Amino acid sequence: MSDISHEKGNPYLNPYLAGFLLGLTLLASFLILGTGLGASGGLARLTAWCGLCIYPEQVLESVYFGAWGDNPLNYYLVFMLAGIFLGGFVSALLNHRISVQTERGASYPAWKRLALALLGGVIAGFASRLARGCTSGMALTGTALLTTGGVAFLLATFAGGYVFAYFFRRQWHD
Amino acid sequence: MIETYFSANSLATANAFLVSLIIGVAFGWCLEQAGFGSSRRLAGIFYFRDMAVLKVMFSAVITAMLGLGFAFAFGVISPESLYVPETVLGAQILGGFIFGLGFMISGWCPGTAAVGVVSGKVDAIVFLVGAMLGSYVFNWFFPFIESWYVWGDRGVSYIYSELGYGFADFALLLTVVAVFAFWVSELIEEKFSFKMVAARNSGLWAFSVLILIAAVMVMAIGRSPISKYRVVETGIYASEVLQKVEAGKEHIEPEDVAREMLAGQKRIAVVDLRTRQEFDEWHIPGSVHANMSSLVQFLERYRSFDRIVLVSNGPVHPAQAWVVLQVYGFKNVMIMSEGLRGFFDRVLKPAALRMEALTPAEIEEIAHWRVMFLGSGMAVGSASPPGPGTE
Repeated sequence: MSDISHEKGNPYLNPYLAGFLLGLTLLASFLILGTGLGASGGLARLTAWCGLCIYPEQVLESVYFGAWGDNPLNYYLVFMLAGIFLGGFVSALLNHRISVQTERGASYPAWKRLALALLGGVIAGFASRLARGCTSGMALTGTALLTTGGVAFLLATFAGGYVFAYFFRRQWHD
Repeated sequence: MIETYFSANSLATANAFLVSLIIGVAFGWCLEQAGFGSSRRLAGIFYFRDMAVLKVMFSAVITAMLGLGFAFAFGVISPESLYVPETVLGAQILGGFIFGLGFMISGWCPGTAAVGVVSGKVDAIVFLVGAMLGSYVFNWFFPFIESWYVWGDRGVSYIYSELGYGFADFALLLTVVAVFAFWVSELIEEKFSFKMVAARNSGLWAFSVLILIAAVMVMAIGRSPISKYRVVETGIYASEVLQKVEAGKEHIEPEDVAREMLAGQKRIAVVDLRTRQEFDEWHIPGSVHANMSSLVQFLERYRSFDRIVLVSNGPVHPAQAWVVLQVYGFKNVMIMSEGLRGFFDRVLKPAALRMEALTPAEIEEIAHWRVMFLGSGMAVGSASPPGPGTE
């Protein structure tokens, strides 16, 4: 297939097969844990833990992080996030796809690309708390359960991306 | 029926953490295999260059949805064993829109960036640092934006019942939409050359046929006697039901409903049976809407609750529904006496407008109810199952 040209290592798995396997993973999570998948929740817990290390009193007194108590890492999604790192690493290693790089268009400066990655990260991190989940916890899990919020989040995510995509196209120009 | 860690209330145990870790490994492996350790590939969807995000996500959604459909139909798992993320429509549309902007700008989302980091992508590390900063900023601003966070709270809400479909019919419809979207994606990637799409060996023919057959099967099973909603064999005698009616045990007073909702000690679901339009105009904060025609399926998730209270304008519809629910073995269902009219007169009506003599304690309680049910409305917990927090 044509969509492997930019990557070193083995070609990616067929997208429908990858999606099918991802769906089975989600189904296993429903049937065993009774919950769906999630990534931003674990990340937010990690953030709260970092905050506790620096400003323990302020974080414990804050309304949102404070509700997680003094050991926010004691939560299943933190372990799931650790698993994502591990599983991704094993797959990338076995398929020779690990290479240190800043992905961008060939003619785009790396520092600008990193600045956009940081900005996008701040926005996505904030928004995932507001929406109670990210692509995994809300779009994927919520839509598979056919919840109104999951479907609405998924549609709004693509709306938000497509509305502004034109203004950020240069970072991918070769 | 299998019990989940969620339904056993043991999500915070070492075993659950180990299972979460293993599921996370499978999740990360799938994302990496799909090529989601690359921001260029992820961002491709926003420029119609690479539609992998749509193909993988939609395939996963359909697979898990149909798998659950089979699991429910064969009674492998009951819906109440699942944690269903609540719908807070305003927060999720606003949050989704902003999230999409961040996703597009960076080319990452939290799960894929984790895979990007272990693939050596510097931009993924920077994204995750940013996402942590963003979470911290959210915590900082939370007291100021709390009204956004609860904007449009609808509790547990399913898109198919909002649109007037049943689960299986909607699942089939969504599967057809997915197959259509897959083929359009292939066409987009090949710049609308049908010849090139036909030459691709993407396995899409097989996958399309597979999921369409599965969706039709889920629908067929849902309509056959295998489905538990068709089986009426609960061992309940008419005389038992009628005895309860005679004893008046199926009624609960509006004041008691208000007290139980506010006390928050019992798991209580207040289910509104009026039309969606009436519900949207006003409802008891914390209550959920249900369509009369799909009530039995809808209430399955509240079967283990201490109490389900049916409300409508008056008592007739709840009373009729109550009888049907007895047949299906719901032992925790009650009807709110005098319906919402009673709730207005006996809970929400200001003390000053009441004819009867009231003690100071009663006056205070009425004032408290008015603040809680008519004030911000945020103080009353949602009637949906207490979840582990949607993240």
